[in-house]
Amino acid sequence: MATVTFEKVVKRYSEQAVILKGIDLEVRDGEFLVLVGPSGCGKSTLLRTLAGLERIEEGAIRIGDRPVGDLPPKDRDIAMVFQSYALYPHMTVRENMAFGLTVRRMPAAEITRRVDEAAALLGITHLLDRLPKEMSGGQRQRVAMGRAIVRSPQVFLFDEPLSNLDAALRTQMRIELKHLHRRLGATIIYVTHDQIEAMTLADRIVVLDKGIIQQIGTPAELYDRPANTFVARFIGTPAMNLLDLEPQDGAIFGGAVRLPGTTRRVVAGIRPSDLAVATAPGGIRLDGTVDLVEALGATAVAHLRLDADRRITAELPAAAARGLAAGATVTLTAVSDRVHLFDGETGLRIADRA
Amino acid sequence: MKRLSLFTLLLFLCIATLEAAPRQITVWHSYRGAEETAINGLAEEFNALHRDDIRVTLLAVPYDAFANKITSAVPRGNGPDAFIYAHERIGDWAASGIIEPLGPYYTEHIGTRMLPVTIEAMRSGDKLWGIPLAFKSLVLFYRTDLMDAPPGTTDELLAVAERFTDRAANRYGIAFEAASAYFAAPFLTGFGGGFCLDEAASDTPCLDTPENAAALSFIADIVRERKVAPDEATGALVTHLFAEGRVPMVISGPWLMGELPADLPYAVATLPVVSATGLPMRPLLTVEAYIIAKHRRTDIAAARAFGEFLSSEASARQRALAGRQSVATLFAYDSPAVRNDATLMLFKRQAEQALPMSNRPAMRMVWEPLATALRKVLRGADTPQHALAEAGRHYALFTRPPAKAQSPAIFLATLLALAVVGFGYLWWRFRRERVIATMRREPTPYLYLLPAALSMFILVFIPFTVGTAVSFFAHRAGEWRFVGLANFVSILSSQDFPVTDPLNFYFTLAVTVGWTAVNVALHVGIGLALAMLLRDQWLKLRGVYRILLIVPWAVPNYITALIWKGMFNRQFGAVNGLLDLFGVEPVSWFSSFWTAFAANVATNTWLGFPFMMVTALGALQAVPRELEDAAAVDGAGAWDRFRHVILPLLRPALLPAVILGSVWTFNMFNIIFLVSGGDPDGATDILISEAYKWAFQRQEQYGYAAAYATLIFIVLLLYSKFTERRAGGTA
Ligand SMILES: Nc1ncnc2c1ncn2[C@@H]1O[C@H](COP(=O)(O)OP(=O)(O)OP(=O)(O)O)[C@@H](O)[C@H]1O
Ligand SMILES: [Mg+2]
Repeated sequence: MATVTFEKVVKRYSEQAVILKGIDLEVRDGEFLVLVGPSGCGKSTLLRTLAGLERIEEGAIRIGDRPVGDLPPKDRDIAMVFQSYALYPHMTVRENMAFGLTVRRMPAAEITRRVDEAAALLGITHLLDRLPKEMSGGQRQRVAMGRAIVRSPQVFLFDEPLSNLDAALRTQMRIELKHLHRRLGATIIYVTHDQIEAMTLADRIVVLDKGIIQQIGTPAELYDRPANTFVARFIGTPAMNLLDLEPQDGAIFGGAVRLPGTTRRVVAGIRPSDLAVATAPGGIRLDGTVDLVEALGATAVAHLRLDADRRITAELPAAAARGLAAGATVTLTAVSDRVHLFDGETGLRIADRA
Repeated sequence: MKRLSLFTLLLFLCIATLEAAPRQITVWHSYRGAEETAINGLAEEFNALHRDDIRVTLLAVPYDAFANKITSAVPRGNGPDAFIYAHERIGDWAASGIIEPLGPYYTEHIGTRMLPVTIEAMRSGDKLWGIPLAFKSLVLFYRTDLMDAPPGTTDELLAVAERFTDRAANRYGIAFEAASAYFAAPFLTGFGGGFCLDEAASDTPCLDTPENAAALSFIADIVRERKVAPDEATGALVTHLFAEGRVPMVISGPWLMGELPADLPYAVATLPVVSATGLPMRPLLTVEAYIIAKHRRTDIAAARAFGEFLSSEASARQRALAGRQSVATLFAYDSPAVRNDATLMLFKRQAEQALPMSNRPAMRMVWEPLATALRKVLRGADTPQHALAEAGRHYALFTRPPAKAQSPAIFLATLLALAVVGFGYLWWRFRRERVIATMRREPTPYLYLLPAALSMFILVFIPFTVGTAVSFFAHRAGEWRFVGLANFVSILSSQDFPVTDPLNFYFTLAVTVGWTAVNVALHVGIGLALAMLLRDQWLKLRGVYRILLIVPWAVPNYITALIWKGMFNRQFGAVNGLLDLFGVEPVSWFSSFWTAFAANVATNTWLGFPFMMVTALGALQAVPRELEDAAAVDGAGAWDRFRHVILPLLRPALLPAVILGSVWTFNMFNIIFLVSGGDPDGATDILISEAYKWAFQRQEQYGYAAAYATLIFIVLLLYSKFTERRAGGTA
């Protein structure tokens, strides 16, 4: 178990293709760190530089106190689980799991013991003699994790390990992963596209965009206090509504929200779940025409048009949404201290009102 | 009345046109260049003379295929009416009734007009079988700028040669193709030996004589001891050295003149007298003759007329002066233009003391054993006496009488039974799998298959069946004899040769298997290594590797083989030149088994690795990069990744390539034949090149060769069955 430190790490393939643009990141010992970001933002690349599969052009990477920038993968004491699982197709499950130990010339008895132990932990003992092609996706996924576990490395890297599974299996594996982390106490860096995975698994989440870290924080911090409009829209489903507003007399929404000492344009963010159908006058008022209502069971998501080019979504209790039909006009309201304010130019969060 | 006269006129016209239709004769020849121009001119002249009577059409046929074409085309009536060819085949052709003898009148008539020695060459039995036109023999060429007069004796020759030799500067005293039996002949005769085939009595050559041994020692003395002549000299090398002035004397034939620069100061002389015996060196004389085919479309008079015309004094003079031929017609030498031509006169002088090559089949069987003996002696691997005794033994083996004829009845019965069983089985399978019913119901897919099936039948099945059938026959001089399994018994029991003899089947089989294994291992090894290196540059370096691939592939492999053969030359080859840079003594590549084998392997590896490289590159594209990444993270170094992850995944793609490559290599005739040619002494021959020798260098023993081919097929069949099972077991 160890800490992992990235210091001003730059990765580029050419002058134009700079993939990581100065990453500074400290992963704590035993931490479950989740990396999220849009496709192509460099998440996999970040993992691969840590694993030693890609060289870095600038900066330093340390595992514990050990700089590993120039070490080959085999000397970094890291395990990685790939999205495609990357099981060796010509080896049985046992051989797949033992491979990392065999090439390190570990005694056979010790290999058998470790493989059996890991297999038991993952519930794949009965699969040990099968070939990868003879197993389901979920089983292969477990084997891939087993292959990582047997080596008991200092750091585990997961690159979207659950994305090829169906929803039910994903939920189950998520829980198992959480248990596993607790049992092994290992440092884990985990890449995912899935919000729920990120929110439920992470000790801390790193949001990455275009090779730059946008925010690091606990799931609650990211949800409650997104550092910029990118994070605001990226975290939470449905995504936060962002409204571009021109302040009047240092206030917006007809004076319902006062701005702390700025007269520039601002972006106001309101989560769909913070919106409600107005029953009384006053406060923040948004008049819109209903476009579409998606019923989700307990709640419903209503898509509304405020004017020609501004749309918002609201997550309403099922009962409140039942009265809304497409084409109806409705007035929504929100509590003013649930409004997130961002600078109109930079998109950065404006210091919270006192 | 008027009517009648009209009728008479018509009749007259008809007869006139009938009479006017000239008799057509077709004549094959293999002349090129000036000789061809000369003979074409003469044919036109002849046609003009005989406008209403005879019309000659000339057809140039490549020399290499000439004799075989005559042997096979004439009896079937597809051949020429007459042809011009060297006299060496007259013996067999006369015996197998392919050619027509000249009548007694012509015998006497021609005999007096021709150089006597050329008439001698035409004789088989008590008849003459051709009209001699021209002759060729070896003579001594010398550079007039480097020496004043040609040596009269071998002692003088050696003295000059030693004076001139400077091996450091690559200069030699004399050059000739020392390892060739044809060039050894004048030495044999000069020492009083020879082949004994000119005496009518014996049909067995006398190779193992003290005189011949003395001659071989003398050649070895020149090349090995005194080192005044280059060893491993080829015709091209001899020409090159002489033209460059790096050797003052060469022994060669009239063909050399065409290859020398026009202004080179040289002259020709007769071969010297051997000092030890006082006898002149007598080269073998080859006579080009006008020979009339037995099966022809015209009468003999017309066919003979053109031959007579060609050998007439006027035509002969024209051939001599314009075509630079040494003509056989005596009177041609009386014309002043010819008499003043020192070269033509010298060739005539040399011919007068030459030995006409025997036109019997036995003569052609002498070359291989004699050449083998010669090379052994030149390598210092054997004494002349012993090598010649071996040559005699090999001669006897190559010419042994064919096995006893057997009644084909039992074989035909077996064949019939096998056919019945085979067809029965096929029928049963068809019935069971309802093939016929399906065919009837849905004929279209079978129709699509038809062209492929038909061409398989014609291109594979028929030749295969014929080849297999031939292996049950013995063939000598156009005669086939059914011998049952005798060829196979003889090959497989190999009683006549010990296992260490290259002629032993098992020796050759072992060499073939070794050859295949080493080659395929190298092809796969180098191909894989290059594929791994080129993999990342797959796109970037595409141009480079394509050229890399195309060079060995696009060049026809026999050209590559000849280039490599040249590179392995002992004195002038690039390989020894390279070794010399590192201070390694020059290696005589083709005189020991392992070096000759290595030369063959190097050549074939150069030809073979690109195929494996492409196959591996293609297969590598299908190995996911993530697997290697996973292995790297798992702790595998580059070698472990290759050995445990990449290689097992390449196996399915490589295995068929390996099997294919093995089969190709097993039968890689071109390389063996052109690079080592089986040297030393047939030791590096593989089964297919051994089969070739039986078929084309040892009295056309096609049946014996076909038995070899059938055995090759069986070996390969077993091999592919075996690999199939292994592949099935592990993949
Ligand atoms: N060899 C390469 N040369 C140039 N650019 C590359 C190369 N490999 C990857 N990239 C670029 O690097 C960027 C980051 O890739 P990466 O795989 O890290 O994205 P990601 O965040 O993992 O995306 P996803 O969520 O789709 O997996 C991509 O824009 C990709 O096009
Ligand atoms: Mg990725």
